Amino acid sequence: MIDVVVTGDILKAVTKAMVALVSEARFHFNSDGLRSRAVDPANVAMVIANVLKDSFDVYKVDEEKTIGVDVNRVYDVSKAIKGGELVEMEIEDETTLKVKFGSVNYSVALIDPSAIRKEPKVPNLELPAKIVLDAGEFKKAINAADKISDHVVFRSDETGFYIEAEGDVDRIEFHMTEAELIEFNKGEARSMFSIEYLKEFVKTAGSGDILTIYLGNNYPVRLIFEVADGKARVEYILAPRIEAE
Amino acid sequence: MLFKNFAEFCAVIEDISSTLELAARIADFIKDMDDDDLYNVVLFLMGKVYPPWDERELGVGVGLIYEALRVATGANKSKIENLVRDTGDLGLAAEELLQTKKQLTLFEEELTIAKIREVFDTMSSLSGEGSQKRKIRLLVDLYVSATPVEAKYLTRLILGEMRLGVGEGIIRDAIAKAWNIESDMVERAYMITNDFGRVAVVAKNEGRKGLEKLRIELHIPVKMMLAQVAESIDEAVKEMGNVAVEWKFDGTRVQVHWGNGKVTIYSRRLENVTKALPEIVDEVKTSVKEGVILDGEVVAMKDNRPMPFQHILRRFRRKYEVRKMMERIPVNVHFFDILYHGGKEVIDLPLEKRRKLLESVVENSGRISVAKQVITSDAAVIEKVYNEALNAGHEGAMLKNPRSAYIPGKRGKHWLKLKPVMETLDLVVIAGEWGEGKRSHVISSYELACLDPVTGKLVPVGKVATGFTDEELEEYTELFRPVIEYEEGKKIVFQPKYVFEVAYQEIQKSPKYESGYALRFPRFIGLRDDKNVEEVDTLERVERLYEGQFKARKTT
Repeated sequence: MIDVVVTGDILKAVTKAMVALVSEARFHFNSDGLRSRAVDPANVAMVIANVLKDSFDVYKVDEEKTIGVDVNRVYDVSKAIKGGELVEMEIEDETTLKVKFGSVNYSVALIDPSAIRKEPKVPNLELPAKIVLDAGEFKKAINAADKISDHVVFRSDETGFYIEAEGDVDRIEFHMTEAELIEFNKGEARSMFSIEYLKEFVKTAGSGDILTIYLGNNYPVRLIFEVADGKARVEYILAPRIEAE
Repeated sequence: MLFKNFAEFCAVIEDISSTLELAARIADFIKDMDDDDLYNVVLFLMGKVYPPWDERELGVGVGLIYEALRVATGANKSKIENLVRDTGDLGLAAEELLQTKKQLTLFEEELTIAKIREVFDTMSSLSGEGSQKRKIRLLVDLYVSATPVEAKYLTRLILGEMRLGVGEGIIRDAIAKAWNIESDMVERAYMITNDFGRVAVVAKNEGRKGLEKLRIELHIPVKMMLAQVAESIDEAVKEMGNVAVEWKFDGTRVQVHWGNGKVTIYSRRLENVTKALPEIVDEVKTSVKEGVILDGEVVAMKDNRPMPFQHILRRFRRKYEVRKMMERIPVNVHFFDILYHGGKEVIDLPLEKRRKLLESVVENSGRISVAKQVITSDAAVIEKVYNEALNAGHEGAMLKNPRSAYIPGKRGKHWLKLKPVMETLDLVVIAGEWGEGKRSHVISSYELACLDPVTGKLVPVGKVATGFTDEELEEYTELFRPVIEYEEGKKIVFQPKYVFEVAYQEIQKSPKYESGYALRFPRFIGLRDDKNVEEVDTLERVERLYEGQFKARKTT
């Protein structure tokens, strides 16, 4: 039996993070908290969402449990919840998830976890550059780049962190120096990524959220968002595109 | 074994046209494989996932492949469609899509033959709600891990069309060569097991002796013995002396296995059609002695006349409401041969002995009977039987050599068929065209091909656009819709799957079609739902008919 209470923004953040890549996901509840991990069907990106036990207002989990959730449906319902409003989630048996908020009682059938695509291991990545910045700024840059291209280059050297996109007749450069970044190790790195994916990822983030980027050379990137006032952690790992023409 | 090795081997042999070299290369390739890989590779080379009589099928059409490629590569549908149109082959399109894919992935798994087999078996076990979605997911997983060349042959394998020019003859010779066994021995083993994969595994582990020991088994279908066209009654009498004459029924061939408490019925294509014929199953259980394999013809009767055999085929296709169809299309079976009796095969016994056995195990009832047979050397008697059969609404007569063995899969001179009409051709439909005006919503013409049995390639011989009723045009448009590979203007290219029987006035030499021949005034006769693509008429037969009409004209 699982019975937990969280604020609406956390439930929204976690389900939104998952729907960026998949429509069904496994949720694990254990003594540390809630964790969910999934890879998109084309194996291009991975999402890992974590909410620690302390971020819950109530966390009653008798034993470790894995459930299969139709995240599309739950995300749709969670949109109606106000950010600070409390939500209770209850799973009594293997078949149903109950979500209660205000005077609403929502219940949805669970999916057999074994019917959901198996979660691969988190790849072990050695990434030279570490960049920490306001997620809101990053979101602006990605949404602007989306207007002119379908891919962007992330680049980092001692002069700062760059996001560059090129259109047929135009070009965008986003540049933040060490002074403008929250944390920066000046590592040298450069990789190209699909905006299709990034644009889904940034939906999770708002202004004031902290984003940590680990970047390599023609290598997957790790984007770690601290969302819902730092109470939930959403990490994306995205494979690069090939730069050669 | 890695699937990559298989795909790369396919790429090498695709450009080889010498059948000897093909067989030698395949022999060398399969020689040292372990049993499971060998079994799968032999089937895969022929574009098969299961032996023909196996009831399982992937159930993956062109649509699911489009969708899986879209998800796996991120290319949109119109890009894929354009590629298929440009290359004329979904396999090449898949290869190109993976080649130009710029997005890398986080994980890749090396595909093995065993993994592909596992995924195929999972796909064929799926049915009902949600199965399409799961099949797409399984396919996407394969395409995500596939290299371009793997994607090319994976796609072709799923569609059952390898385009390698490897037919049954080449596989037979390759198995023979790999383990130094005579081709005839391999051929025989194939005719009674209908599974080249199994034949290869036995040949590898037990050699010639192992193949020799393969015997007909209950509930594994045997290729049916076939008949040639009789030149004339006098020819037949001259050739055989005594002739066993039977009616040639206007129905469809069945092979009935009755033993170990169950009855299994196979069609001419060796498909399991047991479920479509419940009343025959019941009747066999009561009127036939257990432990036999019988060969016969199912006939649908109405007011004492046979109904067109399309009606029986309609029943074969039925999965539901079979009982209702039983009342509307009542069927009888006429048995004329026996292949297995008393725990052993009896095909090597002469027909006259087999006939005695057959009579001893079948008790004639309303539904089941032993086909009447007359043994004579008198042409007038043969003619009389022939006319009786025609008057009763059947096709003609069968003339059989009473001393001949039952040779599975053979179209030999021991069985001759006597039919009044001009020969028709059974050809595979490879393309079509949308109609014009009020027929613009239906496919109004179909391009046909015959088979080059050596290479397994289909070569076009003409188009048929007449002989269809309006209902048939509608019906076939729906039938062909799921096998559309791509469209180009009004032209539609199909996955080769359905066989048409067509009549024609004449065969002409023509540079217009790849076969070198063209049909003059072709007319649609019917859909041959009982025939596989591999069973359509061969280029050789077209040539023979062409030569034949030339001869006939000279003499008149």
